[in-house]
Amino acid sequence: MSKISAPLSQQPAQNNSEVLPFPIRDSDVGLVAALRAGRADAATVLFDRHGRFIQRVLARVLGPDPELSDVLHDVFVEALQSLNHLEDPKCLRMWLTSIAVYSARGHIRRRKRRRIISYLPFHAVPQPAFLPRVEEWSQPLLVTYRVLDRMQNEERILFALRYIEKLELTEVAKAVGVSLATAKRRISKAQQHFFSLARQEPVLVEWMQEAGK
Amino acid sequence: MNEQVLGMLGALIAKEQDHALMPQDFAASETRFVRSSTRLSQPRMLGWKYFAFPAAMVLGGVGAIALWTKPRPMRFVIQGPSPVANGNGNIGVWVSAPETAPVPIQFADGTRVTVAAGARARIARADTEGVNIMVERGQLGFNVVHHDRTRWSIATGPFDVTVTGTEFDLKWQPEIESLEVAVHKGTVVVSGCQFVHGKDVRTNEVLRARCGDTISVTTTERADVTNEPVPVVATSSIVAADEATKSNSERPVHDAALDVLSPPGPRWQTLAQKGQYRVAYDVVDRQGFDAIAARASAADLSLLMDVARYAGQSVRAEMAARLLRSRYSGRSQAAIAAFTLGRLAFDQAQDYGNAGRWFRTYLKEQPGGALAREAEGRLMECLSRTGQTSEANQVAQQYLSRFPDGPHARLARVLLGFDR
Repeated sequence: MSKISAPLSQQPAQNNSEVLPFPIRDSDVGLVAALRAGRADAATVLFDRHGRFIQRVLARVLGPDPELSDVLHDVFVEALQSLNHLEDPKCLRMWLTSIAVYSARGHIRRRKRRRIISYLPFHAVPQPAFLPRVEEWSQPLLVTYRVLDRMQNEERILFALRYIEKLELTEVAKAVGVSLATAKRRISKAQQHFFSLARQEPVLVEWMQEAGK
Repeated sequence: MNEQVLGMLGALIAKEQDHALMPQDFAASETRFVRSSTRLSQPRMLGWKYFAFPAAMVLGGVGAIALWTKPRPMRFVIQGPSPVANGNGNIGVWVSAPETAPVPIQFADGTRVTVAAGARARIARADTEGVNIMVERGQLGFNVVHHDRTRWSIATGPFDVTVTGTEFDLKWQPEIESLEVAVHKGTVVVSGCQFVHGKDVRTNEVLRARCGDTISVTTTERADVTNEPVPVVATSSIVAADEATKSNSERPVHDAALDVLSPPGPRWQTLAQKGQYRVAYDVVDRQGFDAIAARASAADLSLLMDVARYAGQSVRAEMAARLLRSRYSGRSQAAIAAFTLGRLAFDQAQDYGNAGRWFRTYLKEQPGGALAREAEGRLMECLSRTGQTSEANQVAQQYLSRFPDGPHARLARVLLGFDR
């Protein structure tokens, strides 16, 4: 057996002093500071701390989607690259939510465009293996997203954040970047639009009548 | 139909979605993001608006061309009995081979991949430009037919394997984060972790690696000179194993080539489990504490915390403990990390206020835990030292009722005025 050592130039310099990284604090302020300092472990902490929430937000807005994990990835990559735009580190979670909403909006737009180009019917869109197959989702869920597909993107996002993810009105407003009054007005409009479309879907009508009893 | 019904509908959908979002997919997303984050440069300093117009001009021109060169999906067929989650030929398909039989996958370009019994993988992408397979666990055999435009890559844990027309086996063991690649024909390039610039593995070579840990490269014919400080050995048993494997051409996955690898050198985990904390810490230090901590599982991070503490590296022990708290919140290791943070604050910094908060956290998370007696005793001590007499007496009463013969029982009795 022979052992080949690295060239001297590649060996670490012997030094009596060392710089120890300061532990990332539990707060988002500490995390943002670590990210801005380029700490290697900060990205992991960022994803650990906020990944599940953002994944949920995307799932609510997009519905069953084969590219959910790709969009999730894009949100965090975008966040890392745009970190210098984050003014208040305390608002990290809300800032990530707004990036998620922005990414989801773009993805829905692309998805619609692709569907038109590919002439694919709704059920022909391939499903990811980690999500149930189309026929395994419940009918109310599938029909709800079919209705949301027919709504405008902005209305769909507001509806999903408010009624499925159940964000507070102020959070919804921040996530979509409008004032509270505008958010209220648009949510009300989205709700009316949803009801008018849902009345054309027997599955939803039946479900809502049962639920209303 | 009213707002309440909408709320119920939303709750139903949310519940169903939460149930469908699998933890392993989240873990895969996390791995993917962490891997790509290391490649990202510093935050963008210039606004997009400076580039928007020229970019739009270029994209407009390129867009039309891109439409014509759009990659076409590559069909594949999964053969044999397999509880796969979806039908054949769909991107994102999950292949979980039963414990008793391998599952072959035949691709339209002639490539054949065999998922060995018990292995799991996902075909993340399959089109005329590239195929990407994510291996969650177990062994896969590859016989890749090379085409100029199609790029084959395999992702396993922190490693990527890029294929350039070849026949090889790959084995990923997530429990010990071990990657093994045995190349029978052609070349593959392994990247990720210590292989920053990629490592070629050529015909008749076997590579075994853990992220930031021992590497061995064995060969049947010659010792390959590498730029990395790795032991290179010529192993005669590999030849026999390799020939035995070749003679059995029916076997889709060459088990023998991977099984004859010699065990790796001492790992820091093994040294720590033997109680050799200082030696273990030296190994960790050489491999990079940050890198190990960044990728460690909850169990490894907990062990790393102990290694640092027993080696007298309290700052790093604190760092590991805080990582455990933030990354694995809710687990027993996170509670033990709270106790360790309390002990570090108590013993090293004499910061009794902070120490008391951490002991309280431990007791809240693990009221009946193995360290509850020690945590409650130390909490009482902290409260007493910071002059919080009434709280200290309250904890002393609780302590005496739960642990009348505990090591802090005498202090409790003194605080309550029973002893002097």
